[in-house]
This record gives sequence, structure tokens and C-alpha cells, in this order.
Amino acid sequence: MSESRDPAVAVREPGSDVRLADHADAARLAVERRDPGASLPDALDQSVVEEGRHLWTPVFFGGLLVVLAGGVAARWLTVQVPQWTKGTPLEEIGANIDYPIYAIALGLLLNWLLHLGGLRDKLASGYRTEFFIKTGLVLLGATVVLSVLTSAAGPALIQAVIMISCVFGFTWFIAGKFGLDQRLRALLATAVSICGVSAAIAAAGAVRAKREQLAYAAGLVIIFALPSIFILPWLADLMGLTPAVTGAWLGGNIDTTAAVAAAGAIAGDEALKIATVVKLTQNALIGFVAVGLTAWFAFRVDRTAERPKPIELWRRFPKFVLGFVAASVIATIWLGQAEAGAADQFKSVVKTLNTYFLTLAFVSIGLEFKVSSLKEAGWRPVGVFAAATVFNLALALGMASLLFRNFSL
Amino acid sequence: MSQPEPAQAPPAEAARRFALTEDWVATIVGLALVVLAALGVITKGMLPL
Repeated sequence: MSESRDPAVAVREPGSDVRLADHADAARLAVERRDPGASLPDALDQSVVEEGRHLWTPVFFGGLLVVLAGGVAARWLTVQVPQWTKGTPLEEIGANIDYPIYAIALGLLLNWLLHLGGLRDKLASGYRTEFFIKTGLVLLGATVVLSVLTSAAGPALIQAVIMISCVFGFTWFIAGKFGLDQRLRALLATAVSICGVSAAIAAAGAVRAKREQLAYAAGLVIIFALPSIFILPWLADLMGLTPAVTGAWLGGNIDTTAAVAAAGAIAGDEALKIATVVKLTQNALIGFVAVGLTAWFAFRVDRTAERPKPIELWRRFPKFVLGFVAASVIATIWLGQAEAGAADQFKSVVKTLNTYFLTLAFVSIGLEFKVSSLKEAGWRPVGVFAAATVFNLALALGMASLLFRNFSL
Repeated sequence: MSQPEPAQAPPAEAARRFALTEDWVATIVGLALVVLAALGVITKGMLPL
């Protein structure tokens, strides 16, 4: 993805959100109108986290309404489809399709309909993917009780650290060989090595990636994750893996947390528990990768005439990671003294709220998805992601077989 | 004598401040919901789907 192709974020006009077709002219326009003192590269470097100004306009609320409608419909289908398919040949499929699939599919459908009506880009300021996913991840922190993690923390942590290091390094290396843009390289490496879309969003904040790059990485994650929900449990069964190894394999290699949960549920209860612990351990390491990427991009990639100050590390650090940790601490302390009934209600409410926000995030991702960004990026990122996925699958299987061979909850 | 205009941050800087705000808003909203759930203000019955 070329640097010069993405001034779209920078050229949104206040109140209109018009995207200009001519990228070069748009970039110059952005420089002139937004920051007369900025250079052209500065204007092109508008991050996804710097996008989203000009809120509280009718188009913002219109876009938000579309996301909410999609979210409600996705939740409704998640509840209704298993009932509709009960007693039919489609019962197993209906019961195992999780909310991300409905949310993404509805987001894509709404995307297409709004595109036909010429409204998709106009309403784009209401598609608050980052806000929804970050809030959802903070809520996810409250489901990660420290005492639950400790039982599988050792092997899960070892697996997570090795997996993240090796898969990130492999993807970064391959992406470099394929000549990908540095930011897209960081997004793909983080997405495939940690936890898919949410990790890509964390990385996007850290490296100030562009909205189109994030949408592209998210699109690849979704395209690769959806079939894995069904194929990997089947393969695990075919290979005769134990539930613990199956769970560790699923949790270690499927990119998105929601897809891990869906695949784990298909594989069985014990596999689901191990898969969740392994995946959440990876999730918890987002912050370390984000800090590393922040440092790398601040001091190596975005070098300017003036050397960046160490405060850049803090400025680019995704603050929701702190919220994730704080939520885990709050939940652990509170659950330690709560009665069983109150604790169960707390877990249920937090999980439901987490699902709400992730559903809205997935609908937003569907709404933001653009085939044009895939076409612009070409086949190379797809090749990189496919190679990284195969490497991830093989390494995770080896690690899970080694570390969880004799493990049981 | 005309009053001097108040200094205004460049647009890029203003955008950067917003970005920090959005990041923190997500954190604050998430933690607020966790606390409200712990206090029993938000109950399962209030979440329909």
C-alpha cells in the first residue's frame, strides 16, 4: 500500500466528510486547509486514531444509528437462528454460528446498501470501530480474573511469548521481503501473532496506521478466521488431539478472540476453557507489543529532523490497555469478596456488555470494509498473511502438543 | 486597539488531543460499566439481547 494513496482521512471536510478522488490533489488540499505549517508527508501521515473529528453532526448520528441497527439485528439473529434451525439438518450449524459472523455479514450488507445509495462515506464518522473495540476490550479485562489464569498461566504464558515472538518475527520478515509498507507490515504481524482485529487496532494506534490499512488488515483477519472456526476443530478431531492440546492449538493460532471462542465451543467445553485462557494470555501481551512498536516507529521509522522525545512512547501507547488491566484488577478484587449470586450476575453482565461492544465493532468493520483497498494493496499482503497463517498453524500445533500434552483443568 | 486573538492550536495538534480523548473515553466508559455492574446498578434484566 503506497504512502501516497491514502490521504482520505486527511481530506474529510468538516461537516461533509467528502472523500476526494484525486489523492495527490487531496493531500495538498489537506496540507493547505488543516495545517499550513505541515509538510506533505505530515498530512499523509494522519493516523486512524487522529481521524474522527467533527463529531456531533447529523451524519455522525446517522452513521451511529446504522451501526446500532446492525448490532441489534446481529444480536437478534444470534439468539433466533439456533431456535429456527432446531430439529432441522442445519441445527448444528445454526447453533455454532457466533455473533461476529452475523455482525460482520450485516455490516457488509449495510455497507453495500449504503454504497448503492451513496451514503456509506457520508456516514463514515459514525462508524466508531476503535471506540467500540477499545471499550469492549476494557470490559474483556473484567472477565480475566487473575486466579483463573494462574492454573494455566505457566504453559499459556510460555506458549504466548514464543508464539508472539516467532509469528510476529516471521510475518515481519516475510512482509519486508514482499516490500510491504512499514505500517501495514506492523498491522499484519500484530494481527496474525496476537489477537486479530483488536491487536491490529492496538498496533494501528501505536504506529499511527491509516484507516485503510487497518480496514485491510481487519478484512484479511476476518477472511482467514471465518473458515478456521469450522475447519480447525474438525482437523483436531481428525488428528486425535486431546481437548487440552486442541484448545491450546485453537487459542494459539486463530487470530480473533471471538473466533477462538466459537471454534473452542465446537471442539468442546474443556477445549474452550484452555483456548480461552491461551487467547487471553496473548491478549494481555498486546501492551508489550504496542510499546515495542511505538518505540520502533518513534525512533526508527518516523525519524524527523528533531529526534522524538521519550514522551512519544506514552503518547502513542494505547491507553485502553491500562483500562484492560485495571478492569481485571477490579474484577479480581470484587469477585474475591462477592457472594456467589452477585458474582454470577457480575460475570454475566460484563460478558454481555463486552459482547455488545464487540458486536458494534464488528458491524463497523463490515461497514468500513472496502474492496478498493484490497485491490490497491494487491496480492502481496494476501500472500504474506497466508504464509504467516500456515506458519502460525504449524508452530501452535507443535507448542500446544509440547506444553499441554499432560494438562487438564 | 484591537484585542489580540487567543492562540489556537494547529489543526493537527487539535486532532491529536481528540485522539487521546477518544482513547481515554473508551477506557473510562469501559471501567464505568465494570463498576456499575459490580455495584449491581446494571443487572442482567436490563440487557435484553
